Parts: sequence; structure tokens; C-alpha cells
Amino acid sequence: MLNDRELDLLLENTSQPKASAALASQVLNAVAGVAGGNIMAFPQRRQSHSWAFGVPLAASLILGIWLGASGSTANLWTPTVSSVASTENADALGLEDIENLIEDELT
Amino acid sequence: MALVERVRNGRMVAEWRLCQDAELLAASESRNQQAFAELMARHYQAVYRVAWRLSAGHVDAEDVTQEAFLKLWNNPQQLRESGALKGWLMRVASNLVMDRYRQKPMQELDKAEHVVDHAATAPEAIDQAWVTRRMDAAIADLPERQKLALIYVHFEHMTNIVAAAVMDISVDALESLLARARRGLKIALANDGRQMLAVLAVEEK
Repeated sequence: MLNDRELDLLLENTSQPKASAALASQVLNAVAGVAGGNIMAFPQRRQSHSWAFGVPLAASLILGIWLGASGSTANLWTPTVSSVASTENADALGLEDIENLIEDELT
Repeated sequence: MALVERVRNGRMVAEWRLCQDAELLAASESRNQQAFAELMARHYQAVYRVAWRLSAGHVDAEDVTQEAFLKLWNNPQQLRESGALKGWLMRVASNLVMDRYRQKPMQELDKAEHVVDHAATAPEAIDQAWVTRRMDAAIADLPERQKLALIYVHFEHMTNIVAAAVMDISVDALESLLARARRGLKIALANDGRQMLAVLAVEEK
């Protein structure tokens, strides 16, 4: 059997693997690819257009409050039943008779 | 350990070649590709040698080397001690080779058998190349851990302490692996050893 010195001599005669010169640049290209790949654009946040709906709604609300408070809209409404009933031509509409009839039924 | 810088064309340029591994690693963590290129230049041959020897040339050692460095680039924080960079890279490469062997053990065996059959049928010249092939085959046949210990200590000239740290074993365990590897080689070369030495002696003359 071989002794230690002889074995060491044989171990010196193994293959001497050597990487190709292209390996370094190949790895650096891969690294550059990874580095480039890491820079990812975040998806653009969808632009909100809520103001486009909010502004007209707010303006409409403010206008409504202002008009209601000033009373300037009273003449804009069409006559209602209550307003008609309160007018002096109630007889013409027969509303008084109806009131009497209801009172009679109740008594 | 301040970063070495020189004024060149009015600009401060880092002299990466004069920096130590720890500084290069710190710069690499900040995604500095020049610093990483210097780290690569220093260590890629050693990583390649380990991958090649561990697989006896069967695994694509260049591919393994690239993967080991990409692991470092992608997550340099996993290396706790920058002084142990070379050992860490070698361990990663070793693990990658072993993983690949585990994934494709049958294909590798088939390939190895094919090589042996070819050698048996063809007349082989008894020369230094034969000695080299015979030695490579004897080392390839060693158990994985023994082979790794031999590669680190004998071929990569690591001290027993460093090699034990890289393999994550005690120094006693490493020495035991080394002793068993050498004994295994002596047994494997019992028949051809003398003839191999004679060939080397003739070649020297």
C-alpha cells in the first residue's frame, strides 16, 4: 500500500480544473440582469376622479340651501292641494261641503 | 478599513482592488456591481474548482458557480461574517452540487457507467494523463463528506479549523474524515499506485 508521501505525490497529479474566462462576465451579466429586474415600476395608481362628481353635488346642495333659505323659490312651485284649499275659492271646489260631511259623520 | 478612493479626472473613484472582502461585500449590499465584480474576480476560480472536483466534472460547474454568486448577490445578508466569504461560497457551491446529484442520481450513474465501459474497451495509454484520470476517478469514488474534506484541505489549502467551520463540524470530525479519505484512496490505488508512481518518475526524466 502507498505511504503518505507517495499519496501526496499522486494527489498533485489530479486534474486542475479552470473556469473559462467568459464565466466572470457571464455571472456579471446575470447579476446585471437581476439588478435590472429588481427595478420594477409600481403599477400606476388609478387616477381618482371623485372630485368630478363631488363638486357638482356640493354646488347643488349649497344652491338648494341658499334658495330655500331666501324663499325665492316659492313662486317656482306649481300650486298644491293645500295651497288651493287655503284660497278663497274653496266654495268653487266644494271643499267646504266635504269638511261638513266629515264632521257630520263624526258626530 | 476605510474605503480606498482616488481622484481620477476630478471624480472620486473607488479602488475596489485595494479593498478587503468585507468592504466589497458591504458595497455589494448597496448593489454596487463594480465591487461585486471584484469579489467575483477574487473567488470564482476557487468556487469553480470545488464544484468541479466534487462532481468529478459531471455537474456543470460553471452553472453552479454562477448560481452561488447569484445567491450572494440576491441576499448578501445571509453571510454573517464577511471574513468567511470564500468558505461560504464554497459551501453554497458544494450544496448545489449535492442537490443536483440528489435530483438526478440515475442520469449521473448512467453517464459514469458509460465512461467506464468506453475505457474498458479502448486500449488506454499508460501516461501522465492516465495517472490524472485514475486519480480523479479514485477521488470521485470517495464518500461525499470525505471528498469535501479532502478538497477543502488538500486542494484549496484551507486550515483544518477553517475547513471544519465551513463544513460546520468539529476539527476532530474533520481530521477523522481526512484520515478516512486518505485511507480510502490508498486502498483504491493499492493495485495501480506503484505503476502510477513509475509513470510519473519516467515523465519527470
